[in-house]
Amino acid sequence: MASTDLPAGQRAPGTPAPAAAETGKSADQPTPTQAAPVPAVRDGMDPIQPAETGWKRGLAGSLAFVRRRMTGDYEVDDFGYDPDFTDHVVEPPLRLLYEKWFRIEALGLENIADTGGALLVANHSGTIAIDALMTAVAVREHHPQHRALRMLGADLIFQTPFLGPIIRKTGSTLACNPDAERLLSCGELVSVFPEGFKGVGKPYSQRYKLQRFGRGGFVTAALKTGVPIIPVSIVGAEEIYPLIGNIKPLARALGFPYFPVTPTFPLLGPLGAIPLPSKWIIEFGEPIPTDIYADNAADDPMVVFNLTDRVRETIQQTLYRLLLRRGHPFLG
Amino acid sequence: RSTGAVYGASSRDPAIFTEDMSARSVPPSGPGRDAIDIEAYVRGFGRRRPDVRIAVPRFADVIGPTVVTPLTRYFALSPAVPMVLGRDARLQLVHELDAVSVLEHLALGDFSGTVNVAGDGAIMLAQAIHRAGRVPLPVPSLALDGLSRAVRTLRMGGFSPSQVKLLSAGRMLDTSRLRSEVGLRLRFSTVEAFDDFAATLRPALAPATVRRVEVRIAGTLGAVPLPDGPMAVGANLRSGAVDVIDALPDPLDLPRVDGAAGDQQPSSRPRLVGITGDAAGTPRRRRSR
Repeated sequence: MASTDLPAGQRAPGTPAPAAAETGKSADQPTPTQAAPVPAVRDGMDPIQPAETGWKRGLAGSLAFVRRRMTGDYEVDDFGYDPDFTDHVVEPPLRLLYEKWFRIEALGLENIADTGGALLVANHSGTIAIDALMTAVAVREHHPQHRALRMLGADLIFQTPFLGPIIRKTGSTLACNPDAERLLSCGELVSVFPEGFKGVGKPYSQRYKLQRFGRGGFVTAALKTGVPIIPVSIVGAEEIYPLIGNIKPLARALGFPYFPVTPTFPLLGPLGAIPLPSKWIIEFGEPIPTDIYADNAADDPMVVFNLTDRVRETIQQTLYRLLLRRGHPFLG
Repeated sequence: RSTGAVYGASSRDPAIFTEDMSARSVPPSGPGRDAIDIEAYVRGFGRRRPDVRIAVPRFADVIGPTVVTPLTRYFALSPAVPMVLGRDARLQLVHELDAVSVLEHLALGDFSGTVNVAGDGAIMLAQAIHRAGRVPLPVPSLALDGLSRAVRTLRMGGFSPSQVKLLSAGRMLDTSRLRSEVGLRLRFSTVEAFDDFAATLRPALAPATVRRVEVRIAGTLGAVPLPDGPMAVGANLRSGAVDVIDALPDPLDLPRVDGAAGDQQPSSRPRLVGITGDAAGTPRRRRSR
């Protein structure tokens, strides 16, 4: 059998792939008659050979991914962010959820600059932190520069086996000030969900009412690094797992902050883990600049509280406006 | 000579440690605890004797073609290297030649204080095992925080619980003080240092084999395999550095870590005094076909 090994080394982006005949394949393989236009190269991705049909291209990509994994031929940044893994393993199912299940509309992406750091502050809901993942997909897929969003998560997530390392590979890190400041000063987009577990675990009757926003640590990080704060309002995450109860003793026994009871969850067992297909809207608000304050403003509690309140109010008002716009939670 | 183990390693830690941070989860015993205690003694000594210049380098794990440490013995296990199920740690390594050169520079220079010493960049544990040509073998740790049991299960012998914790949680050191105050740039990044070490191992699973299998599977199913080589990655986050493109000249223009003779030619390796079995050549690039 003729060798199908291609010459080593990267092909320059933009050059069309050689015809399949060049690789010495067997005669019944149809030769492509015309090359499809080369798709735009996303930052960090290989140019995909346009001459392949859909599933073959996907197959070649998957095999190449597995090969890179098995030889350790990928790069990881200091926080553990693994773009190869994130783009090939984590993104595709999330993208499917984004487009087909939740039918998410992302508004206001032009408020995120093309380069430079920014702190995205959002409301948090939905029992599990899918809204964080969906926000990251929104920025990665629909922002013109396809920027990566680094999420700040609670330590419970990083202690979990399997999930902890995977979340770290998507670029997330612990929600602590040193990490947040380091990411922001390196010009990364960082998203934070100050409501925390109180937000995700709030009962259905309290939906879309923002819980307490913590002590304003995120504002301090933004003030110290001078990056703008972008308030993000996520509508639709409250309805995916309507929380109607909480079994506290079980939660304490398992070490969870709450043990959710939804109309489907403990009743239908694992089927209850499927989120309800509500219609989502994610709006990125106008950036609030922080470099207009004095250098030591981060130590001034009044500045921090005022800024926190301003962000909270903006998010709350936007939530009400988007709820009106959406209409029905599932058919909207 | 201190160690980065003073920072401990847990999933509750910040991602990168600077010199002024202390351990969030204080290691109860082992080299980390010992190093914390010794650093305290040294600080006390420094207070009593202000005329003595004290420099405390905190090293990440040292690795290279000639050193023998528990870590090198761990990666030399063949063909399967055990790792904790469900965890993948970020490792940061310093090449043996860089370590010696840093010690030399600190001993002969005039820096005083604490400084983290580690190569640029990170390598994940599973990635390192793959690059060494071995297969990672996930082994469940029997109790939730029973690290001593994990040591017995993994039969790693020679590993203290704090080192097992490092391999399950990972820790990165910020080296901006090394670059700015001490004025040194290490020659080997973490990945380069590891590759230099891995070149001395015999791979159980060679990259050429993986490539052949990939090409054969692709051929059988009728697809054209993608070209060999790593994927081009966009902005890479380095500890303490903001430059995104490596091709840009380093604005600080610091002297590279050089040998005792002090020559500035980038291709000559520093000469090791007193360590036999020097390996040849410049930092090794990853072998690829």
